[in-house]
Amino acid sequence: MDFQQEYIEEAKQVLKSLEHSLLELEKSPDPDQVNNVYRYLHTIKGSAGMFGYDHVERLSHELEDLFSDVRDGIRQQDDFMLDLTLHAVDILRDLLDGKDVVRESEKIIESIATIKGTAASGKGGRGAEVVNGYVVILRPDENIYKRGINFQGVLDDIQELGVCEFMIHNETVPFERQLSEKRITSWFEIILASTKSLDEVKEVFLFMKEAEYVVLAITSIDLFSSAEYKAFIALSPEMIDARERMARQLIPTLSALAEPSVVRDDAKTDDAVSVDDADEEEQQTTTIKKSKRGGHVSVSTQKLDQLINIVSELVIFRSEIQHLMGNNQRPEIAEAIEKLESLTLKLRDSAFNIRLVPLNILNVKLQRLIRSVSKDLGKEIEFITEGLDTELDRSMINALEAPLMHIIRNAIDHGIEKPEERERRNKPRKGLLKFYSYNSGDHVFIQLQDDGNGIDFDKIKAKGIEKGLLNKGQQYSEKELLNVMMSPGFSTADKVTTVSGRGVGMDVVKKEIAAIRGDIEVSTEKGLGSIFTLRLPLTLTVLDTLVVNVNESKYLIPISEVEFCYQETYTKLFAKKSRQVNYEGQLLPFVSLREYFGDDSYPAEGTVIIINKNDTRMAVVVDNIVGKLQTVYKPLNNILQDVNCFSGASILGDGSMALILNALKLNQ
Amino acid sequence: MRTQMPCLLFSLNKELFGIDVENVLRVINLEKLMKVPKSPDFIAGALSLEGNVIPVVDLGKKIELGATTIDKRTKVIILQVHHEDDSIDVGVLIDEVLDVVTINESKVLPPVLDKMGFNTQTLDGMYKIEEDFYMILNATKVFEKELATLV
Repeated sequence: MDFQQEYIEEAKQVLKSLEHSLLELEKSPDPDQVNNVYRYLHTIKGSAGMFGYDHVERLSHELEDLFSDVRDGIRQQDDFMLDLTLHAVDILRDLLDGKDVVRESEKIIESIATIKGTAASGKGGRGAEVVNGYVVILRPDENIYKRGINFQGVLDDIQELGVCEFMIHNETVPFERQLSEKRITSWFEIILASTKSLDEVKEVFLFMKEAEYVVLAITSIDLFSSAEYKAFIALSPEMIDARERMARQLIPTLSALAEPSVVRDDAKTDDAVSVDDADEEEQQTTTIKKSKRGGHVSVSTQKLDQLINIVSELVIFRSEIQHLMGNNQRPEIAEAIEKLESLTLKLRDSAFNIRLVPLNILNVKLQRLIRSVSKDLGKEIEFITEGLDTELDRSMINALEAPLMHIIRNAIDHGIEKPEERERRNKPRKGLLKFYSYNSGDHVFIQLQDDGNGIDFDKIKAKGIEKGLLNKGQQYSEKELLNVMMSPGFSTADKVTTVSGRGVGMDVVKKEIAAIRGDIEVSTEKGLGSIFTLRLPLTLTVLDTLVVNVNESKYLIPISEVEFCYQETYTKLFAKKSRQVNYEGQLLPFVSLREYFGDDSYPAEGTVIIINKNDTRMAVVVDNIVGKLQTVYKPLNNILQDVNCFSGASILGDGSMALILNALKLNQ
Repeated sequence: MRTQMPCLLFSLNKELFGIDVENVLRVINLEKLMKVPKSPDFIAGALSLEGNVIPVVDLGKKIELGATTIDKRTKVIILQVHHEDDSIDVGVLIDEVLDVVTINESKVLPPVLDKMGFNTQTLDGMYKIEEDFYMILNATKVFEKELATLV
């Protein structure tokens, strides 16, 4: 990956966070989020010019300007501004992708100019919170941890108050080590910009001794050069300067109110103060945030797949060794192999775990969808999520995106009523859309619940008859009607709206979910809403299979598709010309794999395997069952893709390979 | 265009071939070939390489030179065939690896247009080393049909 690619990846990541912050802002104005927005825009702008993304630089610069006004309380955020910025995020993304959206970008810049033109009003108005400046001097006792105080927690709390700048004094031992050894020898000077009052700030230090902390309100920039401050810390003129600069940056009201010494100030910043002391200051202001980060590395999926391949190979190789050792092994070797086994299995598990990512990464996309769809349709939606930390295979989450969006669109379009109608029905104006997910056994469940009108079975029936999918005079169970709803070419929307009902419908959702080996279930109550439940395997790659034998070759059948197995004699199976078995009083078509693969010799007795996949049943006849095996799914190369009676292959314990049967494709 | 092309020379059904090493991932002994029923005629089977399933093509059949007889000495060249931004890995059966030489591309003779008993459309040309003519295979041309379905 070259630097430019790296920049694009990084910028996109930042755009995602930006999007998230904007959506949070929409829920409620929050100075922290405004700050985040500002920071993200700044980051994007920062390196855009370096890589020649001039339009990205310009657009993000204008936006940054806009939000710096919001941050400074000069301007109030409004819906128009957020809409515009969200739109701009899309445009920025397109620009990064090299799409030609320069015109759009210029339009946005114009709109921003208009916003700016319409009076930077609202200062001190409703809701605009005043940012106060504080200096906190912390001299924690060396044994503060022994008193049961989590010092890191205190620092975190300070950071939560607002924006702050940490200066660590007396850092003879690296601060991170002090934290890990729980012996704090440094002391701290913190410049803090917060909307909280002095008392609220002091609350953070509730558990600390009076002598350990001082909180001073910065009422004037002169504080740092005052005698009062000198009593705590003796500062050189350069050090005072550095602090004044920091304070001005953090607390905008200071520069607005305080003396017009801005010119002198700017000159200083550019020259990066060449005095030793100041240099030292720079070093000391190592932001503590660094030590707090969870530490994420983004890795290309290709590298991950490679790792997993190697690990899978290792697992197989281990069983091969065991196989080669046979029976005449010495106890020491047996023990070593056993150890190797547990290690390789552990290795495999953690390698698979790397692929798992929380569903959270879909959150922003879904929220934006809900936002735009509900606006388009004039509906009010409250979106609640739960269990977004549930983890799923990355490729699975990607595959889930489209179906989930479709279900949500449907729920807002067909399920949830317009606000007026909801009021008539004694429901809250805002429709509730709930998204929750959880792990259960080998599966992940995702539920989407709305409190709308529920699914109208009469409508489905009428539509089904109209489309020729149902018979007029017949009674249908709710389950049957739901099945019809999910069959191809069915869409209940009265009109074809832009939102849903573009000819594709639930059948596509069902297909897409089935493609990742998942199920979908719908339950609904008229007038109360519906619940869509998706049941998904944890990963796409690990598969429980039944190993079967056909003419000395092994094949695999996913256990989830196997309903029943029994033995039957050749003469009984092939007595008639038609290939059918009688199972539970039902005639099922069967495919003899020997016959299908073009063999004409048959063993006297075969095994019938009843396959049940998505409620479609059929039977497969094999020679015999070898056993059960948990395997790693491998896709087939493009050259073999035409052979659609196999969905993939797996490597068996002895190093040989076996194909995974796609049974439903056998009789097509 | 490069003027020097490193080339892997091999023999198949008594014929001599060369292929650009850029396409060659590695050469392995044929072991544990899995049969793939219902697959096209030119597919000999599939094998596993570093955890991936690689189809193995009977090159002889593919270029209409006749089926390859598989014996103990049969080797498989694992090729990486590029197609636009994509690439696929595929193994081809050969008899024997002869050498790796650098050939001068300007000295590659144009391929014979007539069928010389096999599909000469898959060749980049012929190259003469001492008294022997080597047919320089073009991997993309060999798998032209299969690559077309990729998109």
